[in-house]
Amino acid sequence: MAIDMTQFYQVFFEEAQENLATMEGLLLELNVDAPDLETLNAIFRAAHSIKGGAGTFGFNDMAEVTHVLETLLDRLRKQELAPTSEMVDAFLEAGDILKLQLQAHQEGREYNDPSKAEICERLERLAQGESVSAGSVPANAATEVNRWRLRFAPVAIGRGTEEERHALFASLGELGSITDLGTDHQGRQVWRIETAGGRAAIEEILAFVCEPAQIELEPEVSSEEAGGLQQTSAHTSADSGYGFFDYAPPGAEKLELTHTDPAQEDAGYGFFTGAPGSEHLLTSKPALHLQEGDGYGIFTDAPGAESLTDQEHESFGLFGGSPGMDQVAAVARRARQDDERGYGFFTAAPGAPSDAAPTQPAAKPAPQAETRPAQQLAKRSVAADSSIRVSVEKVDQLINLVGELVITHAMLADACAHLDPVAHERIMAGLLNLERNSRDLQEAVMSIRMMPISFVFNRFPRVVRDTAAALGKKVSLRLIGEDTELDKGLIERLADPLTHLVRNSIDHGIERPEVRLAAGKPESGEIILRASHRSGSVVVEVIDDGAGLNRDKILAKAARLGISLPENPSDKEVWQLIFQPGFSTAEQITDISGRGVGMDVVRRNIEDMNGRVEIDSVAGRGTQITIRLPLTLAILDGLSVRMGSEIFILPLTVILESIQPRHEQFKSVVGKGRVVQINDDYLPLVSLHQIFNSGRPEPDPLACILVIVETGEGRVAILVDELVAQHQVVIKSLETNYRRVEGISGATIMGDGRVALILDVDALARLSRRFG
Amino acid sequence: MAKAILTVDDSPSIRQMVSFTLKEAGYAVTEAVDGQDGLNKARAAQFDLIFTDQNMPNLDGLSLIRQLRALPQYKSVPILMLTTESSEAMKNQGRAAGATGWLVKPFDPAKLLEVVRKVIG
Repeated sequence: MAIDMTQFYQVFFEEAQENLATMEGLLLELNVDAPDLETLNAIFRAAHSIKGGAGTFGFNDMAEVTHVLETLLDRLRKQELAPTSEMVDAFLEAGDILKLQLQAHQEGREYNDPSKAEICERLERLAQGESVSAGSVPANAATEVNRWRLRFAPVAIGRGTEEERHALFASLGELGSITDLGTDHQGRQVWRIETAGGRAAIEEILAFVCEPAQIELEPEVSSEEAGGLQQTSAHTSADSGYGFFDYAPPGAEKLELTHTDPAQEDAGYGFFTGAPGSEHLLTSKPALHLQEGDGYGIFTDAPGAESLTDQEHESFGLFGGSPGMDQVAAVARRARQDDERGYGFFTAAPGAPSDAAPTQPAAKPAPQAETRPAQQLAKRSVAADSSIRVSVEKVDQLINLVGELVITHAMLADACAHLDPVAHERIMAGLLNLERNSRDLQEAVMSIRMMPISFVFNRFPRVVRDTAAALGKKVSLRLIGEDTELDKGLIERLADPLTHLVRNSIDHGIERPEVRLAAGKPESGEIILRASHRSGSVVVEVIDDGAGLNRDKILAKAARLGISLPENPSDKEVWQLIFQPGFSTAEQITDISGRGVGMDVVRRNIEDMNGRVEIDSVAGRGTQITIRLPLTLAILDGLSVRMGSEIFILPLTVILESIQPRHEQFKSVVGKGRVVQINDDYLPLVSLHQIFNSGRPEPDPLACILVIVETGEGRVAILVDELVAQHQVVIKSLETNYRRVEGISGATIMGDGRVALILDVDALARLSRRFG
Repeated sequence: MAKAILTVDDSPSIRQMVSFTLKEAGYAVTEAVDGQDGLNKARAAQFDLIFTDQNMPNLDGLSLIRQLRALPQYKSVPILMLTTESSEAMKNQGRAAGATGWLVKPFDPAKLLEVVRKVIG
């Protein structure tokens, strides 16, 4: 029967991804000094599942890697070997390679990289190296040095000056030893790095400097090593004690197995012959007539019926005399009439009463079952049966439709507003119901898109581990509030800025162990990632207990860049400076203990999500970066304000207060335009009339209301005619439906059918400066 | 009436493939996501054949087989282990637990059906 296997690929891809994530999470959790057997078992299961699927679906390259992975893991969970951090490193790297392989298969390509052979060899060595001296002190097998050749054009990666190059040279040198090989014919700098850390560690350091595309990093293999690699790449030891199959080399027919020992392993299936309890059968195999074929075997002894022997075929086997065997025999007898090729099933009368007497019950305890009933460990549990996978587009469509429904309700309510509630009681009651139902529906639909933030948090144990290792620092990570839910779209977009912040915290925040000790702090730094819901927004904090920002250095840098500052800037104003684009040039990475790298990009990313970033820092104590995000991008809590005949929406999250201005509060400052004095501060005044050129005369400011909002550049006061109401509005993109308009972040449809524009206060502040 | 087969595996893709293959061949298939789920489902209905993976959370294959064999209604129903381990040791464990036979992974659909036909026709 021909079955198109490609139809199962997608499920396999998703499953393998989940398994890889589970594996990585568990590996990072694993305490090498006191390994938890259950964790090892769970890691093994994850690798094992990937291998089974990869083999079945013909992804032999993945099967090959998981095979060596599994071999080592199996020895660990059987406690034949003790885990070491070298092993964990190797496992993680193997996981990375599997991810790349998986990605390649998803895109329909083959993944080819020498690192695969390298990692397989390393894992094999780890699994085998110690087997010689099992029980004794493990050989120091894993600390082999890898040699890498790094090529780059200094200018292209922002390392133009000798000094900068030297700094990079030094930080890479911390990984192992580094040699300057001069420049190549293209004028690129060539360095050789010898490190036990592997490619990831080098890339981690370079990630702070440049894009991966700007550098070339290749393993440098000497000729005798290359020979060794090829030899050991694709087969396993025959004496491993449990029958793993070697995978056929590429080009061989998929799924075809080569076998180490034809007599035993030739079979992929088998049926057991010895009736449980008939002792001679278990020991003397030749007498069993085990039916064993290509990958299966059937044990043919029906209880007590000696003639039913083991049948073993290429890949399956049946056990003779095992409980299900009388069934098999019956089938075989039937089959024999029309199919004479005969696998050697014997037709002892099934269920012959005499059989029962000498046979012991089947449930005789198995000798040393090596796997105990496992406790629930893996985080993803039995959800498979009770959930479905739906494309994001379908959910978006639903959200859109519900939005329309909410708008329709608002229109109906508006149209009925003038009706007499008594005379039209039924309509009114219906409207009320409609409102409640559509609100419930909206909430329910929105919740489909909600995912726990753990989806993004989960990557950080690895990020922290790798970054800290690359920089020679000790850092632990604490995750708080991983169950906090927010919109899937936001979660995906949050990953990059958060990664940036966490890496920066480790690079510039957390001090080196010796520095920490000298400062009376624990050797190991701590980074906390905390998420929580606070008044309708999601707050994500990145907290470190490092050195904190250096106010003087930042101020000095600002002065050099010519950034104007108030005379006695508050800490907050100083910290905001690091979001300035000018602060993100390469030079600051090392000379400011602050976070110069690309923070402007971080802020822009967050603001694109309608979010805000704040920094709090105490010298010597640490830094806290707070990101405040809306729950979702699809709806917004807003305040509708009127300006002339137009209604605008202000996001509630930016509003600080609204005040009725007095005459003396309005001032004009030369070069700064109009300002409003609020308490002791002077805030820029933003006039919507002016910015959107309403064509009407400017209204009397004293008849207006000032809404004080927080922008990326500080507080500003927006002049409006009237505060109308607070709404939850459905956000429609102006960009996709019309075009981008400066000062406007989107649009919504009000109950009366009119379109109201949603204000982008950051852009307004900028625009207003231009007008002022 | 179509023969009823229970397939117990924690890997959705393998489960889907086994189940699809068997259904195409006219069998009625029930899927279980781990040993415990398999045991519950086996208790709730009678199956003519059970396939089980070995390495699963909650309850592994061998334990599942032992527990099934202790139930009167599964005393003589064929139970096959789907396993990547085809060593003698594993086979002996399977045999001792009460398995009727074994089938190694990776396997292809044709092989699967060949075995099923051998066992329940």
